[in-house]
Amino acid sequence: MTNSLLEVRDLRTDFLLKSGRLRVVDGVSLTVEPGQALAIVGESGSGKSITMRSVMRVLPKTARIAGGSVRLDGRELTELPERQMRQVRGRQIGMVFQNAMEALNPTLTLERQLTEHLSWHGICGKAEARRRAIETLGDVGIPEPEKRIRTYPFQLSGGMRQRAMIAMAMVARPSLLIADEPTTAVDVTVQRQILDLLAEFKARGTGIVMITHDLGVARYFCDDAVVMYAGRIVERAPVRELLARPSHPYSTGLFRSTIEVGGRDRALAPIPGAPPDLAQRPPGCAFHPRCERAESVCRENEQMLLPLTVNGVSRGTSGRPGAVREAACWKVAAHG
Amino acid sequence: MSFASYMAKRIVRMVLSLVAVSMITFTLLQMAPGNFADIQRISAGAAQFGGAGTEDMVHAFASRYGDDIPAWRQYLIFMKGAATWDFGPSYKYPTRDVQDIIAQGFPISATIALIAVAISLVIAIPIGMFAALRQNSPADHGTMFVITLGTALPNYLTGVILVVIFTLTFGILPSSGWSGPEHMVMPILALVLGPTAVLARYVRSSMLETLREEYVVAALAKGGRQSVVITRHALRNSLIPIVTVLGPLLASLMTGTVFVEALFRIPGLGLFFAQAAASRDMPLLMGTALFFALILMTMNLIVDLVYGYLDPRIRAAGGVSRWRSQKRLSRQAA
Amino acid sequence: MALAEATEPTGSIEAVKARGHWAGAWARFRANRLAFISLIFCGLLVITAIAAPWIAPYHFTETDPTARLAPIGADGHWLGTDMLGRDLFSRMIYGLRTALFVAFGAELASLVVAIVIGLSAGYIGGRVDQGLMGITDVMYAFPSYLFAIVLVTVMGRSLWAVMLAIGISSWVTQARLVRAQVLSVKEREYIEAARSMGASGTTISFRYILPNAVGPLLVTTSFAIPAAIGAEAGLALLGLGVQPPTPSWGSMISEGTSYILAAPHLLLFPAGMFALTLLAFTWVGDGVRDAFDANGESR
Repeated sequence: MTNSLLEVRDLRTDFLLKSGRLRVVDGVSLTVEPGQALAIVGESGSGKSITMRSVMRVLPKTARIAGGSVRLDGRELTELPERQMRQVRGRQIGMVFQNAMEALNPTLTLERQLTEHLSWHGICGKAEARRRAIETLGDVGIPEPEKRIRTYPFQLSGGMRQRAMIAMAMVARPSLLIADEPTTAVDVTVQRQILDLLAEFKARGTGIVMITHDLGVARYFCDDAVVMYAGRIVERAPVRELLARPSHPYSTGLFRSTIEVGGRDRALAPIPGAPPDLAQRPPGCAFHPRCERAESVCRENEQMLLPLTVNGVSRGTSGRPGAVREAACWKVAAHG
Repeated sequence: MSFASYMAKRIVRMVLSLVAVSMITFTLLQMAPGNFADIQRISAGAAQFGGAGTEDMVHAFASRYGDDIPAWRQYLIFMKGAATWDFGPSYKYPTRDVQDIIAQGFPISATIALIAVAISLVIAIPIGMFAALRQNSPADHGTMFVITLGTALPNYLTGVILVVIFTLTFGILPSSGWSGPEHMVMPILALVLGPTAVLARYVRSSMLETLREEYVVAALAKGGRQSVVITRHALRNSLIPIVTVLGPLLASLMTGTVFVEALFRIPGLGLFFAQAAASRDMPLLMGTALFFALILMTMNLIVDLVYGYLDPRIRAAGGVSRWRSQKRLSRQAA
Repeated sequence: MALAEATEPTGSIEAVKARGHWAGAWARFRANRLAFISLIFCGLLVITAIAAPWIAPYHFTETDPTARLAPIGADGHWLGTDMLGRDLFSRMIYGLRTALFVAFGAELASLVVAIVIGLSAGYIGGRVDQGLMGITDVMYAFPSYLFAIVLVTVMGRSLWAVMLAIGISSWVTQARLVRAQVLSVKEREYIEAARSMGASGTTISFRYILPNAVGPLLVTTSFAIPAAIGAEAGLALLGLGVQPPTPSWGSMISEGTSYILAAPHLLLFPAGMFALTLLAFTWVGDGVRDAFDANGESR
């Protein structure tokens, strides 16, 4: 069996609070293949960012990985010594953040920020690093990269800044790119350009994990999607399937509360209530207080993430090999 | 806005503030009981030993503060002199001109204050950084406790404690005078604690804030070693705003010298200021007050310029205040 | 295409929040052991200061010619006497009275001035505001201690003069704070609503705007008190404080340094008590600040 690019199994991450441990990522499993893009969809606080930060082991001081496995090209990352883990970050996994204004150091030139990790990892010398940085800046569509490399982040426009940050993540040619809401903070006109840019890297074989709350972004860009709620995956499906026939009530809710261009006939229905406080996780299915289809079983027990099957045949995978369709819901499983 | 017009604006504001300070001081002192004639009668004894210069001195006073000259004219005469660095003679030391007293006292005060601020910086930056990196550890709490001591205790009290330790208990340092390096130790130590506390507190909170910045996470995500990320990304950026507290800090040090010099009987500018106040020496009080204000404003100007130099964003925006308002706007927009 | 945010309940949540805010602040303060003990200690100090005539064994001018520079534990003077034969313990109690009277009086005065000026500057705006900002700019250029010294020179060395001098030189920061608070809430809708219902400027200022500033003002005031205690002693140390024979810790410390070898207790007790008092008030200040700043990291 060949290894996937990224294979996360049963990942659990806790926050250490005064009152005890708080599980914010609970048994997440996901797979990314080279040249494929996975969307992690969910509201803020659903644990999607912490999941990917756990993969990179760049967590807040109070967070700990409590268990599970993360394999990159077959190599286990959770047990890697910090020294070797550093070689993975930036070199094998690149990361793109929501807001380049925040993620780029305001007092350093682009050159410093694009080249420093090349020398940290001993990839190449200073002159070569500069050449690569200019080349990557050109790749991401920044005009006159030789000139722009000397500027500070605040001297660029919002869209250019976002591109520069992507260049920073891609300059070491990582095989996996984690993009944490890369289009949320930019204008609509820029959003599309950024996505096209990422799609280009994807076409060249980079695996991409796109963290987003925007189903439109997921559909435009990604192959597969997982939907997260309160730290757990509640549904897994190819993106097209998910959008065409969401099966978990939360996915349905997400879809219904989304404004779609040209979809005026569809009524807009926000999900009532707010995501739960993880310290007071509702018993049973965490979504039941907001779920219109909740029954007594939902309030008492939690359903596992189970494949959707019709008469033993898995369904809704568009026939793509390797595609999986799963949901964690009593109502869906009952229909399955 | 060009640099030249920015500077011009700042200097105009400085001059206006100085004029305001002088007017306030002068007006207040006019309301004080006792005028030149009274003071002269009191200090007549002191004026005697001037010997040969006495005649000139009386003339010098009379031409500046004579009873026949209205207050507003006295003010104008004083300010006209001040503009050319001539504050006239002092009441208490009638044989000496105020500017000469300033020229004698200021180097002493400046030496103490600058050594104190240098030591504070050297101590406070590592302490504050360490406390931030080990946030909520016993080391952090200990640092914060010492910081509280430093902010709560005025420098003259620290000075008294030092005297109790080094003069009373060990008898190794003199408690007053100004003739050798042994006289500098306690005054400087007394002045160091306060600024160290202020700076360390500031470095700590600035560092904590910077460590939460996304670019620090981004640098870690690029595979940076923690120590490298802290020195290259976090430390530099968290130290830049510290330049802004240096202005107020120097001001408090300057006032600090008044007390410390009084306590240790050091003939610095602070001591002269305090004496001028106690003996209602109007010219000396005006002169030293204006000089203090001038030094303070110059320091603030230098601090702003250095800040602008260190932070490219401010360099581009054309000044600290403009940068701040832009930052605010962008925050609101976000 | 974005998710709709969960709808937030509307209504008179401001009031509930406000009450919760105060109760929460008090609970956080109570939980801070050092601050709470310090508060009790400060309370005892205030009571001692008020009841000084009944607690102090002697009046502060009363001299005992038979016992000059008496040591600790001397007959009838358990903390000894000074160079004039005055009871040290009694003088320390009266010194406390001076310190607290000046500090609380000065801060009260400065608070009143700051509120009136800050409110009018923020609310009226325009010329008034420019005037205030001009004054504060000048005051910022003139260290407040130096200004207090000039003021004492002018007004003489009575208790009231010292109080006023310290008060006048410390109102600027608070006035700026009030002004900033006013500007931040001025355009809120409930102020607009009150105005549209015909409430006068004064009513709006005191009923709606001021309460928002109470928290921050409490924080700055609790730090200003120990600063004012220090200022009083500092002025006295320079010979610019309250006129003798009224005792002040500053002048006692200054005298103590002169007799440091002959009678060290004259320095140690006033200085020690002074330090303890300052620390206690500062810890209360720290507690108040942390109580109002739930995240605990703003400074």
